[in-house]
Amino acid sequence: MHSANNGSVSAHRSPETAVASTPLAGPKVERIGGRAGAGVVLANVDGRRVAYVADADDRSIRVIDVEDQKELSTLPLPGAPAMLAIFRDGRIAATLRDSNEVAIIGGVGTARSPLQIAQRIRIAVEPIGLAFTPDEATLLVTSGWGHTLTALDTKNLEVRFTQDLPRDPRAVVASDDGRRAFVAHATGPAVSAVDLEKAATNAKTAIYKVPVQNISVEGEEDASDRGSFFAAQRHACQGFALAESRMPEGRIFAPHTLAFTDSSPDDSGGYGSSPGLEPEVFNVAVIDEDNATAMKSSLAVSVTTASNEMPCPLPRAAVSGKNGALYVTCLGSNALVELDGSVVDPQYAELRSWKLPSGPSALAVDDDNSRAYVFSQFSHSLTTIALDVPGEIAIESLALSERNPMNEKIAHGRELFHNTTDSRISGDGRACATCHVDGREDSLVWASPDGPRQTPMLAGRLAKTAPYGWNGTSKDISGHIAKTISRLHGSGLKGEDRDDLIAYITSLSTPTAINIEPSNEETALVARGEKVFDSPEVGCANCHGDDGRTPDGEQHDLKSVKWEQHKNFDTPTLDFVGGTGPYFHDGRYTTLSQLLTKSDGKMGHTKQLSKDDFAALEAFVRTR
Amino acid sequence: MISRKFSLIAIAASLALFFFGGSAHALTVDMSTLDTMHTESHGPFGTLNWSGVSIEITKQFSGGNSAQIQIAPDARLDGGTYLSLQKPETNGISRIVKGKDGALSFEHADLLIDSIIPTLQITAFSSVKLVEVARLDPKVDRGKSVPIYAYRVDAAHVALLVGADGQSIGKRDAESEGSCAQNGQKCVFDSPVWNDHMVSLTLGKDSQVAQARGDIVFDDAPNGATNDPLTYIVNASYTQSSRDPAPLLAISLHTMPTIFRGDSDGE
Repeated sequence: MHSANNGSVSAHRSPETAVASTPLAGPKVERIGGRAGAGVVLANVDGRRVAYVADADDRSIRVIDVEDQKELSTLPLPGAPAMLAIFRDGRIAATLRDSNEVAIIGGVGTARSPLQIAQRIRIAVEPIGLAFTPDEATLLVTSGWGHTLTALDTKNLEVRFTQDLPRDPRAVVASDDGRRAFVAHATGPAVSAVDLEKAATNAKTAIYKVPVQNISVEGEEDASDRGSFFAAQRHACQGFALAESRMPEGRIFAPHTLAFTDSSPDDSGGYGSSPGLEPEVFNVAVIDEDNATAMKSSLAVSVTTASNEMPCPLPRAAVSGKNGALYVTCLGSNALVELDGSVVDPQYAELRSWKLPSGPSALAVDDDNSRAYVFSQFSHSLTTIALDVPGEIAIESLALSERNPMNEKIAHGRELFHNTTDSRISGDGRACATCHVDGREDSLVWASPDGPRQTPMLAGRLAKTAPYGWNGTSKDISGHIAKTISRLHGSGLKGEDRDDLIAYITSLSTPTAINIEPSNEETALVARGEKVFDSPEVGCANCHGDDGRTPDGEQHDLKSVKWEQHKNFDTPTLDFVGGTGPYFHDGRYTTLSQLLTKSDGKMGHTKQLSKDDFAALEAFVRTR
Repeated sequence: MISRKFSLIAIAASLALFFFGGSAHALTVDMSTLDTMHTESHGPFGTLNWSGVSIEITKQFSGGNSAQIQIAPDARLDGGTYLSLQKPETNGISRIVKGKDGALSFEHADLLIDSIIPTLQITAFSSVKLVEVARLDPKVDRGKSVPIYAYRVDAAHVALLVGADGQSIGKRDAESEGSCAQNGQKCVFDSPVWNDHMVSLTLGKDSQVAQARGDIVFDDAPNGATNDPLTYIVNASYTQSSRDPAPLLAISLHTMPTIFRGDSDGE
C-alpha cells in the first residue's frame, strides 16, 4: 500500500533539515550561466569547462569535461535529480524528485575533489525547479506534486518560508530585483508570480497569476472554402521551462503549448479534432518582468497560420543567450530551436534548429564559448553544439556510461510515448505525453465523439482498474490504446511496439509518499473521513472500494447529461485524485469539494453530512 | 580553450539538421535613432526629378483599365484606373540614394496613374535618411552582405527596407515585371523600384512580429559557390517592457537553404 498524497496537507509546514555538515573544501568553481537551475549546469573548474548533468534515470550527477568530451565522475544520489544549481562558492544544489529532498553537494567532481553530498534538506513532495535570488541569499525550490515554492536561506539552508502554488509547478526564476519569483506550471493557464516579501509573511496576496493564453483567437477557419471566421479558445499547458531574457533585459520567456481542445462542427472524430486546426501549437509568452504581465502580442496565435510555424512539442528546457537568442529543447520532436528573443513573439522568429538525440530534456548555453549543451535523457547522451558555426552544423554527442540501464522495452516505450512525429501514433503532431504530461494529465477537457472528456492520469492508475476509458468500453489497455490512437489520427501501433508502450505506461512512476508526518489532528481528520467514505449512507466505498483504490469494474448511470451517447460510466480508482482536478468525466467540477457536493445523488450521498464530516471526507479522498 | 579543442564533426544522418539557416543576427534598435519620413514637396509635377531616371506610360491595354509604365533604366510596372470608381490609381516608386558623404536616403515619388487618358502625374516627393539596422555577415553569406535599413513612417510606425549593394534582390513571391529579381536587374543604389516590389515591412506598436522573405541572386558568385538564390528572412517587431523607456525595434535577419519549409504568403 502506498501513502502518497498531493502534499496539500503540509503545504505551509516547514520541511526539516535532515543532516547538517560542513561544506566540503575544494577547488574554486566559477559558475557559468544564470541564477536559475537546469538539468545541465556549467562551471569553470581550474580553467576548464565542466558540465554537471542531472541524470534522473541513473539517479546520479554526471560530471563531464566538455572540452575533452570525457566523463570525469559520477555521484550516485539517493533520489532522481531533476535540476541542479551552482552556488557562488561552487557547491551544487540538486532537487531529488522522488525522495523529496534538496541535496547540497560539495567538491567539483574531479579525482582530487570528488563530489560528495554534504547536506540533505527535506522539501515538499516532488522538488523540481531551482533558482537563486540575485543576492543569492535565497534558494527557491518548486515542488510539483506538493505544489509549493520553498525558500531556503542559503546561509544556513533552513526554510525561510513556503508558498502554496497552483498545481504542477516546474521551472522557477527570480526577477532581477529579487522581489518576485516566476514559476511555470506543467498544467494550467498561467505562470505564477510570487511576491517574495509578502510570501515571507504568509500574506494571502503574495501570489498572482500571469495568464499565458488568450481568451480567444480569431481567424479565418478556411478562407478558400467558406471564408467563415472562427473563434478558438486555446489552453496553455506544458509549461515546463522559463528563461530570463538577457538582451533586452526585463523579460521572462515562458515556452509552452497552446491546445485547442474543442471541435468545430465538421469534427473529424478525434480528441479536440477539427480539420485545418492544429490541436497543439508552440508558443512563447513574453512576460514583462517588472509588472508581471504577459506582453499581449506574445500570446496571440493565429489559428490558420499556426501550422506554418515552428513546432516545438513538449518544450522542456529554455535558456537565453547574450546574443538575445532564446534556446528551447523540444522533447517531442528531438530538436533544439533557436529563436529571436528580442522580438515580441519569439515563436514566429525562428533562427535555427538542430536535430538531437532522443529525449532532449535539459540545456545549458556557454555564451563565452558559443556552445550549447543538451542532455538527451532517452538516448542518455550529452550533445555539444557549436553555435558560432554558421551555415552548417557542428555537433558532437557523447554517450554517457550506463550504470543501470533501463529495461529496453520500457525505454523504447518511453520514446514512443513522447514521439510526436510517429504517424502510427498520431497524425496531428500530438503524442501520448502531450496530454498525459509526465504520465499524468493535462487538466484539460477534450472534445471527443463521446462528448467532452477529461484527460485521466495514467501513472499508478492502470493496474487492476480494467476496463478502461471513461465509459469502460475497452476491456484491456491494448484495446484502449488502439482507440486513443485512432482519435489522434494515427495509423495504429502493433506488436512489440505496442507492447513496449504498454510496458512503459504501466511502469510510470507515481508521486512519492509525502515525507512529513501529518499532525495528530490531520491524522484524526483523515481517519474520520475514511469512516464517512466507507459508511453505507454515503456510499463511496460501494463502487470505489473501502480504500478508494479498488474500483468495482462496473459502469453506472451518473445522470450526466441527456445527450451523452453512453449513459454509464466506469468507476475509476481514486488514486491521486487530490492532485488531478478538474473532476468528473467532463471536468465540470473544478475542486474536490465541488465534486463531492454537486454529485450528490449521482454517485453517493453527501448532502446529509455535517460540515465536519464533509471536511473529513474531503481530507480522506485527498490523501488517496 | 574550447575553440581550439572543439572538433567539428560533420552531422551524421541520424542527427541530420531538419531545418537550418545560415548566419543569424538579432539586435534591438533604439527608435529615437531613426528619422521620420517627410514630404518634401507636393505636385502635381510633370516629370520625375530623379537624376538618370525617367518614367512614362508606354502601353495602354485594351479597355483602358491598365497601362504599362516604363521606369528607366529598366524597371516596369503596370498601373491603371479603377474603372468602377472612375478614379486613377495611386502608386509610387522608390529608391535608395547614396549621397556624396556616403549617407543613404530613401526617396519616394507618389504617382497618379490614369490609364484611360492615359496620363501619369507625380503628386509628391518624400525622403528620409536611412539607418542601417542589420546586415548579414558578408564573410559567411557567399561573400555578400544584405543590409537592412530603417526609418520611421510616423510616430507609431517604422518601415524596414532590405537594401542592396549591387546584387539582385527581390521579394520571393514577386510575379509581376518590375521587380529587380524578376528582371535579373541589380538593385544598385539609385535604381528605382516599384513600391510593392521592395522588400519592406511596416510595423505598428501593437503588431506581432512582421516577417519578410526575399531572394538574393548572385550574378558574380565567388568561385565554387552556387548561383542559386539565397533566401533571407527578416523578422521585426516593436517590443517594450516597463523597463524600456521607449519601444525598441527588434530585428533578426537570417538566411535559409534553398529548400523551403512552407510559406505563410500562401505560395
